[in-house]
Amino acid sequence: MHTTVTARLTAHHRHCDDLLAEAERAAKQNWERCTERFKTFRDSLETHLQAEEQQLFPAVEPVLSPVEGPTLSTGGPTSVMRAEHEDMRGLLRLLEGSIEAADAEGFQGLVETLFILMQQHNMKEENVLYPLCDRILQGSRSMLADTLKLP
Amino acid sequence: MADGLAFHQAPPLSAPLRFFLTAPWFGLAAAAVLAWGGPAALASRWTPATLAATHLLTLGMLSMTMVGALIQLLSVVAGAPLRHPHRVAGIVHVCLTLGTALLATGFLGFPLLLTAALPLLVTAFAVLIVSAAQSLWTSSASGPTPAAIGLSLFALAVTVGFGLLLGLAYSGHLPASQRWLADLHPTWGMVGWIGILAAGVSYQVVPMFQMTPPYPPRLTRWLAPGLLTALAGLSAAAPFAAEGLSLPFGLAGAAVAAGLVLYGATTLALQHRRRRSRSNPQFAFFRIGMASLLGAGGFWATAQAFPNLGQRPEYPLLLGVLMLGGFALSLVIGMLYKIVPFLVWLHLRQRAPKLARLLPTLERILPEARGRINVRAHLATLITALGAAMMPSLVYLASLALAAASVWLGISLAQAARTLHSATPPNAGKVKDAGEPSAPG
Ligand SMILES: [Fe+2]
Ligand SMILES: [Fe+2]
Repeated sequence: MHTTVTARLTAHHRHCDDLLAEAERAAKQNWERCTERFKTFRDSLETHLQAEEQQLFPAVEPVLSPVEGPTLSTGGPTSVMRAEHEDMRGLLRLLEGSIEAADAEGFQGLVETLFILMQQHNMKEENVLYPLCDRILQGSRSMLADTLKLP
Repeated sequence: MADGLAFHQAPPLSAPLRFFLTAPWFGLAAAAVLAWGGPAALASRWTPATLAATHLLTLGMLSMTMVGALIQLLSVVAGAPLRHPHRVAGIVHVCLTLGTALLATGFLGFPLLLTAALPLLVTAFAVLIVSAAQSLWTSSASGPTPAAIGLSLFALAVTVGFGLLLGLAYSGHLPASQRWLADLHPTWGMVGWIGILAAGVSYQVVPMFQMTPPYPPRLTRWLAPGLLTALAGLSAAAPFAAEGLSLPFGLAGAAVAAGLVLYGATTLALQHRRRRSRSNPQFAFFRIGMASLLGAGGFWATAQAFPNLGQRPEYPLLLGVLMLGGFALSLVIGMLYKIVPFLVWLHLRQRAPKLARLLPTLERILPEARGRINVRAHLATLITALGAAMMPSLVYLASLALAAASVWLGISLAQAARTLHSATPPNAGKVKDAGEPSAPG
């Protein structure tokens, strides 16, 4: 019995949540620790986004959006996910700016925005997309869930 | 494979937003009606002013917001967006707004308007229930949240059915109805439609947005079906209770109360263990809501133990304030402070993907300070309303607080929505026509 996409990636969502919450908590007391936690979070999130974009989505896109093909999918569910990933990256860059400028208030406002964006994104993935991926992968007896490159 | 993966067709912004921007003003209307009715209106829950104000709040404010949220949530939690979001939202919004206004005016002494309100309200809810059920049915998503949404829609249908019977009786088209029927209508509405939907949405929203541990699977699996079963039992036992056989009715009532208290206590316990340090207005509103729910459960149990208390005219008013104002309104207002700025933000992003760096943060769209002030205004409303249920002369103070809280909410949300225009870059139309931001290939 191998693991599922839903189980692995859902657990990793919670892991990223925790890191972001730690950075947010540290922002009030210990800026150095906040910087350090934020960087860990940023790297974890980036790994997560890449595992989805480079491993998971291409494996299911031929089934989900067969017309557009695996890379050029516009309008399919994974293309919305990819677009939201870009939004997250945009916010990450802004957060890096506020870290460099040691702007705690700006940092917290951006964290709140990123947090909401992440949670509604994760909700869609955990409720709809991941279970769908599991069904598709099960059909093709893929072991992809085990090979997802997550720390 | 085309089913259940349609969340990329998120509903257009206007579909949920029109409901959210309308809701607060019905709170203001309810405040005006209560002030107009004065202390005499609080003699019972059957006075014209109380009936009008209650329906302005439950239909105009609560259901209005919940319908908007449902339209948005169906695609997020069930991957099942409405098939014609523009048309459905348009019909439901117009019929619900007009129907509520007419119904309230009808209660105040214009039976003809009340008769006119009934088909409008039935249309609004029928269109909502049918199209939401259709999306849920075709969705491949399963789980406690979509199941709870389905059950709450069923409870809404029952509530509307009872309401229609009562409305026809009130306007003289049917013989005066039984007292127990008049009691079942608000019970199905509060527990079935509002309570079950709130629970189903909480299963998702509380763990994710407040970073708490998840609800116990046994609770999410059984609570909604259990509450619905208890409601069915309560309804079957009601006619017998009216004739003196009150044990089955009491047991079913206890099951309903126990289910709601379990939900409230679990939510508070989860919130106690949340991993995010920062508090925000939504969190505060949620806490007030759950505390009120526990208070209502305790109050109900006390009235069962001391029947004299349950017979007093203040009892249903106090229970109503706790459930409607304390529980339901708190959750709904708290949610508005999160969902409206986020929808606006999402829309700004979609409209101008290339200008993402210029996007305002959520805090800029709707500052949390505004929500914190609303928390205080809402608490003031609750306290004065509880006071007015026991001391009717406080009704003026309570309506003043409700009016202030509603206007504050209405202006806050409208200002957040205005960001849509002020932040529009001159070439936004062209950017939009270019479609979704290009995916990295
Ligand atoms: Fe993702
Ligand atoms: Fe993800």
